Amino acid sequence: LGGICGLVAAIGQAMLSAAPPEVVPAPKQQASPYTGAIGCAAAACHNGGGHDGRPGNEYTTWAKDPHAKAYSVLLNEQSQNISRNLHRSMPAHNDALCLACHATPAPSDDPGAVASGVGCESCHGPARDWRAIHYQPAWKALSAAEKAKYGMADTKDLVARAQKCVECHVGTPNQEVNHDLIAAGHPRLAFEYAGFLGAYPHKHWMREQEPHGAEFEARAWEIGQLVSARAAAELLRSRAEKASVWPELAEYGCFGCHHDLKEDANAWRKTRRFADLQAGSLPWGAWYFALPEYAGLSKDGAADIAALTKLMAKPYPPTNEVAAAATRVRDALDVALKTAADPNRPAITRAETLDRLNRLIADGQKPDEVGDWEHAIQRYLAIAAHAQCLGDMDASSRTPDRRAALLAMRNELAFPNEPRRFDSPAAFSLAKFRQLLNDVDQSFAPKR
Amino acid sequence: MAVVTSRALVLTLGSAAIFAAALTGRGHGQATLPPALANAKAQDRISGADNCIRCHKEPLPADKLPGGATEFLRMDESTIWDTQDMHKKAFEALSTPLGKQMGQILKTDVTRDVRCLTCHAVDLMPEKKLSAKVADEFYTPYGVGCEACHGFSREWLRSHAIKSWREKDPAEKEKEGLWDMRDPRRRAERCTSCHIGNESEGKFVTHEMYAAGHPPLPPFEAMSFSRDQKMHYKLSKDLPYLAELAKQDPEKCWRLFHFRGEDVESQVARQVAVGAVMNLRAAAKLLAEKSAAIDPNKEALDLAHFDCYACHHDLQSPSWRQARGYVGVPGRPQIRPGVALFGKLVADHAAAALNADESSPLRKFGDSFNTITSAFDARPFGEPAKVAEAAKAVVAWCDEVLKELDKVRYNREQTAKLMKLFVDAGLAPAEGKSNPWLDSDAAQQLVWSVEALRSELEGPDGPMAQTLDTLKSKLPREVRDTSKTDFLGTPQTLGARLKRLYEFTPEELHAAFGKLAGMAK
Repeated sequence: LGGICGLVAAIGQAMLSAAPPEVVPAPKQQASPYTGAIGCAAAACHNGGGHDGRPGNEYTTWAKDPHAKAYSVLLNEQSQNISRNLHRSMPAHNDALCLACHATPAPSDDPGAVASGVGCESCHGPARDWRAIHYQPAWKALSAAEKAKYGMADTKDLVARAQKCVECHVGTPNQEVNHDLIAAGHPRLAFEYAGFLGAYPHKHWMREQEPHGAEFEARAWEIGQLVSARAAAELLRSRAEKASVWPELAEYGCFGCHHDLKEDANAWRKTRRFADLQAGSLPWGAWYFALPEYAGLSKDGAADIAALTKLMAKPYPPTNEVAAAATRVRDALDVALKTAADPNRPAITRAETLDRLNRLIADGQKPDEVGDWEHAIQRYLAIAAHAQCLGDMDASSRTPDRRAALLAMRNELAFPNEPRRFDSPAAFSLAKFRQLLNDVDQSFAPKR
Repeated sequence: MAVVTSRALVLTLGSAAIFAAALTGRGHGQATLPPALANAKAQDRISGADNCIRCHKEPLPADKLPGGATEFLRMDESTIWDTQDMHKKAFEALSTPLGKQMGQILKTDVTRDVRCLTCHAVDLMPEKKLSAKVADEFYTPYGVGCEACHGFSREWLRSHAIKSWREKDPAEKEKEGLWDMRDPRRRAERCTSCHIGNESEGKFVTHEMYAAGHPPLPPFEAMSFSRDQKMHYKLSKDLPYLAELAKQDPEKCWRLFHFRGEDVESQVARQVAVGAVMNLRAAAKLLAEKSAAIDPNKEALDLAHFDCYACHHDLQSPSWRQARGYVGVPGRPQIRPGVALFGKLVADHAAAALNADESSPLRKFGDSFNTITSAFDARPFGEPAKVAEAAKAVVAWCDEVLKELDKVRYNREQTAKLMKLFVDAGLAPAEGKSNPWLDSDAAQQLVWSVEALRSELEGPDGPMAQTLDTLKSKLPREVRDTSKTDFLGTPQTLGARLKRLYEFTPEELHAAFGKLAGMAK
């Protein structure tokens, strides 16, 4: 995450040059900066036992959150199978490869704390230096950058929050889900920030606490696109540079290869983005690189993505060239991200939101734009986020028709559950998707 | 009768000279040319299937008399091939809607593209490299016609019709250009040159071709494939001349016709066994030659070398593949598992039959094959130099094993034992064990191989046939529906085949093979 960390660090450095208020003791140096989730769980603090998301009930709510089960899933049969298939020398729940994302690092005096899964400190930062003071009035007066010096992460900053999420949900050079792991039985990663936030069960915060008011959904979508693609480009760069496993098949659209061979299967895989590639070559970046252009990536950046797509379609993608091209893509995304996250950026208007929504729909109806399920669902999530944002800006734009049209599209894109549970779009039909896109379009027509 | 006249003419002119023996430097086991044709123009090399049918249309009354031709061959081979055999349609297939679609995607005319013609027509200049081949030097009128498998007949067309030709050594016939299709090894080598691939003959279905629509090559089983074309020859045991010769002079009968007599061994079982090893040999040879030509820092093996269904399946939970386990590192495709599995089973059987000790090549499948597995594990799609070396070693292993197979007598007892090994390979693995070799391709080949051996043991029908038929909708006993004479593939037949493949799960196979195991004891 060099580029973005660099950006954030530069801002942080400037602010840190001011001395912290004297009432806050200076950070201590101990072996582990982590204290464990249990410290947050006092009834009077974050474990009030009340309703989901209400202040004072954060821990109570989090305990129902899938992150709380991140460690315990390592004990189940699926995890045991993954370890066996990978010929690992230790069970998953002891395996650093797994624990990197399935648990918060434990405090040195309590190694068993990993059992709490992905706890408070994974996202809010290690609490050793702020746990005892973060409820004091003087702490609350500190800026986010000052708090960061103590290790607390600024989760109200959408960029910083997204960067936290993507560490596990996209991957970093040091913690990644590669194709070996997926083939052994680990679910593939397909992160979409706005969509994940929208679907996050048992959120331990309130919608009112989110930044950016009614613009929140549009901003979250934009930032999510750029941060996720940025993380993916950086991951590719490091994979190409190390080339310890190369080509890395997790870089490609899963369903480019993973589809049953049917006599009409090739009918839906040729699109503008992959048109120049040899038949049967692997489609790179189907998920993270479908839409960043709509989130502010420059034309040059889009051309860099096209060039990288071509390189990655080679039978043995040249590692040096890929690393260089991925760096260009990463840097172009950084530029876009800087603009998107500029604190002086004017408000996103309803007209702008509507315009982007219209483009997402109209482009999706072009014959050579959407060709695979990954692109289709990225477009659906983008449309849903912008429709939500319009509703937040103007409640009257929420109509039953629109909701029904979006739900129909979501249901169509969901993986089939019959006759068995599929983890791939076994029934995806491009014609059906286009028809549903038309229905969504119609649902907006009277209000536009 | 035109047939009589033309045959009479051939026989009259049948004092053909026998040419000196020398092959054209390509070695046994390829599409060889008789020296006399080495400098012939492409068009002057082939006689054409329409020439063969002048005699091989139907037996004449005299052919059916004692001592007549039908004691040695059918005499209606051409008719069967003409009306029943898919090879006849090989060139025509290029002009179907699917052929046209492939042409559009590949931006080529598939009826003129030499990469297609090497398998869909008769290559008149087999000695030329793929890059030097031209469309006009292919013979297309009858698709994969007689001389595609039997060799160019210019030199032996007349002489082979004389009775004394039978006594000629097959090696001598090869020198005149008649390929020894009675030799199970030579036959499998010719079949696999297209049905698996052959680098030096320019025969290779690339992944790009598959992606453009070429149907997936099915797993190959030499015996079943030739049986279901339908078979345009008789098994040796059904030819009185050979049956008698095997009794009178078994050594000669083996040397000339690769037949030891029905009581000594089953020709079918030998073909199944030899064919399985030849499949592995062909796949390994192709792999060795292709991977040796690769710059490991710039290129990777064509995806067509790999097990199609390692990648091409809809993902499901729970996944029977993940439960089954993997040959190597999960997510790093290996070659088609059936190819390896059958080589191993045939060697295992021969090792037991010959009571081979640990130093025998028959006991060294693992040593040989594991190097290929680890070459493919070294990086996704394999480390080319390691693959080349390992694959070459597997070819050498196959050659050793083939020599050993000559020592085996595939009598009734050994046929049953070989079948038992095939049946056991389709059983559910014991608790805590896995069977990473088993996929839909391997399962289909298991059914075909068991069917071939079963029919030798229990005849056309019997309890084992009925048990196999419980798998009919997914894993049919027949390679194709032989009741249909419209044998050019259609989108419907292809769709049905692909559907059977993707609907495959091992449970049904395990259940049916469980029953077979009970019967096969």
